[in-house]
Amino acid sequence: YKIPTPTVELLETGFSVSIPDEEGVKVVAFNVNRNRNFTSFINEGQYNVRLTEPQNGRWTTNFSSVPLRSQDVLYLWTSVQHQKAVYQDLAQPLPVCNLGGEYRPRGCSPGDDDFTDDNQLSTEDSALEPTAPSVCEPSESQVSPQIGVSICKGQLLFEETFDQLNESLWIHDVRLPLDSKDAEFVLYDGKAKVHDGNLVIEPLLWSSYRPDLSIANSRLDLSERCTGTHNRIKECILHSTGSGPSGIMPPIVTPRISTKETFAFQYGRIEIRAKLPKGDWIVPLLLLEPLTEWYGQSGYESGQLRVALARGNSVLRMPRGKLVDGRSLYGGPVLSTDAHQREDLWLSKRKISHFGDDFHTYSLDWSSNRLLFSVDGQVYGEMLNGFTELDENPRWKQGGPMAPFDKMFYISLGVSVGGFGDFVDHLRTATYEKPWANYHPQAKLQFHQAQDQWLPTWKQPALKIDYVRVFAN
Amino acid sequence: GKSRQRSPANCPTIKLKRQWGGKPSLGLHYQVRPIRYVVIHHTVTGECSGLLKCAEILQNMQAYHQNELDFNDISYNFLIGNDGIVYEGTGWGLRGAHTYGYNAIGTGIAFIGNFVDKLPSDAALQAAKDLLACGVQQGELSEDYALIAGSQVISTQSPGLTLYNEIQEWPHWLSNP
Repeated sequence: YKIPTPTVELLETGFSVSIPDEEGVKVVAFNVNRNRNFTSFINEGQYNVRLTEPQNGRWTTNFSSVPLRSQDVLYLWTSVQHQKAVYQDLAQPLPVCNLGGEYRPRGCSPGDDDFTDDNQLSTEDSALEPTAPSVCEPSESQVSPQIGVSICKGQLLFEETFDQLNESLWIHDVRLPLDSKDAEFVLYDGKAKVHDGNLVIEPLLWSSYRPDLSIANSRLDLSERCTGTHNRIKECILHSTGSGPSGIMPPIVTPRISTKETFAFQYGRIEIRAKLPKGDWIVPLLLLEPLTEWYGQSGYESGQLRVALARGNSVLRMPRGKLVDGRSLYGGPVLSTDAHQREDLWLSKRKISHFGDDFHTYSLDWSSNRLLFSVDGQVYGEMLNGFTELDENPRWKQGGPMAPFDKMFYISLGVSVGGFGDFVDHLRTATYEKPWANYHPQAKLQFHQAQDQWLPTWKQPALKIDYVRVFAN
Repeated sequence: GKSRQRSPANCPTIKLKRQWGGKPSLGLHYQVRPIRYVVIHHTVTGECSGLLKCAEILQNMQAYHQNELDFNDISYNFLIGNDGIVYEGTGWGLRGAHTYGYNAIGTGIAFIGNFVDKLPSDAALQAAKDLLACGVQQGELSEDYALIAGSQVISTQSPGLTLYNEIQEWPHWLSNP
């Protein structure tokens, strides 16, 4: 027996899920989440049902009173008892606008808001493009939520100048990093600030974050404030008891914001004018992250793009002498937790002074066949498609040539400290060796215990961002 | 609610997990229907009557099972208050974590309280009998299901000696599991 692909159809208020009945099927259960992936596909869905009888040859359920919007994505897993065996299957993410059914939320087709039924838009030579500018070269860029007009090349799709912090656009993360193999030594919490027209994201020591709560032998439940969606036990509850990875609280706490709930785009040029942080083991996060995690929800199965980063260290050498400190700018994809692979894959540009000494404009031009990285208008690297050949994830083969970077990505801004993914082992600063061993169960503790070495270098630990703009390409 | 079956007349009132303020399960394991074994337990907590009192006990129990014991959910399929109200744990058809060796193939029903030296109320006992009959009628339990006490198959006092004596009088009790 193999579970057939479930049929999901939109209803006037909600959706239905069904599979055909077959000989021997005894129980069918559906678990569905809206805009929240299943990390382990045994997670209980926000909407779930267990059916013990088919109706008219199908196992069907209606989830009504679920107001779906055009940008929503449904996640679904199915369990079927066939004879005496139970089978399970996780569906591909289901963007609402791709679903069947008679109803369709507003915003699913570009013309939704602008045209009435009797216009002639469907004719090929229609000269009436009501809202497009006189010269509009169609763009391959798309945005989520969709906008009602066609997008032209060069069009400004998103702009944030941080005159104030718009908290309905930028949502703060409150979570621990998933304990994937590259987890950084931070807790994401606290508010980003705006100062003199710049966004300021500044890391704090645990002792300044919660002076009342010891870094060892304590417990903190982020509970309702927690924004982690992958594994709430691991992302939302901190307890530091005994040795091992949970032996101490994260030594660093830092704000992180994203447009996950409000804005994402597929193909386009993002420009970020920023002053990067300086201080040992600090890494700025100027990221594009996958909105639907289409190609998988653990590790970097769905990819991540670093628009730019320079390590905060003023001097940092690889064992054989190569300099990888803040005088080297990097940009590129993250497709694995392994620090060596990242170092190999990233494009870089070297300069005489630390990139954190001044504001620079970092840009990533992301199109359907390449990634183009530049700083202050100067291109320093291009990466063509073909990530599938890295053999990191077989599912990328199901996507287009640019997979996994052929889906919607959102903007995420913050700083990270330490961790295993951005620092290979045996690095040396001017005065000391990297104080933790990657993948060591007590790495976080080793880092914390070396505080006297790294803290004095934290003269400018904040990431400052002047603006973020996204243009269609 | 996990089951969309119509309620036959002799099914007891079941307060669903969301009604008593339970959190979602961290992992669902669907069982093979129908179920062969029913395992009776007690919770070794205070007794309770009424939604507010029982909900407090249940919420604490679920938090303990999920956070401290690393279980996916509250460990029983159903729990019964002294007022004869049945509370949904993992419910019908979803594996609990009540009795090693019987979680996948059994339904765990716990009486809320400690029944070493006393019996649950008549209302609670009747609710359990009704729940079992209801389970058979809905096809969740085998018609020839076997009823056992936790203490018969694992190292535990549960459901308490007095309650264990009581269920030995019930028709499906199996003396040699």
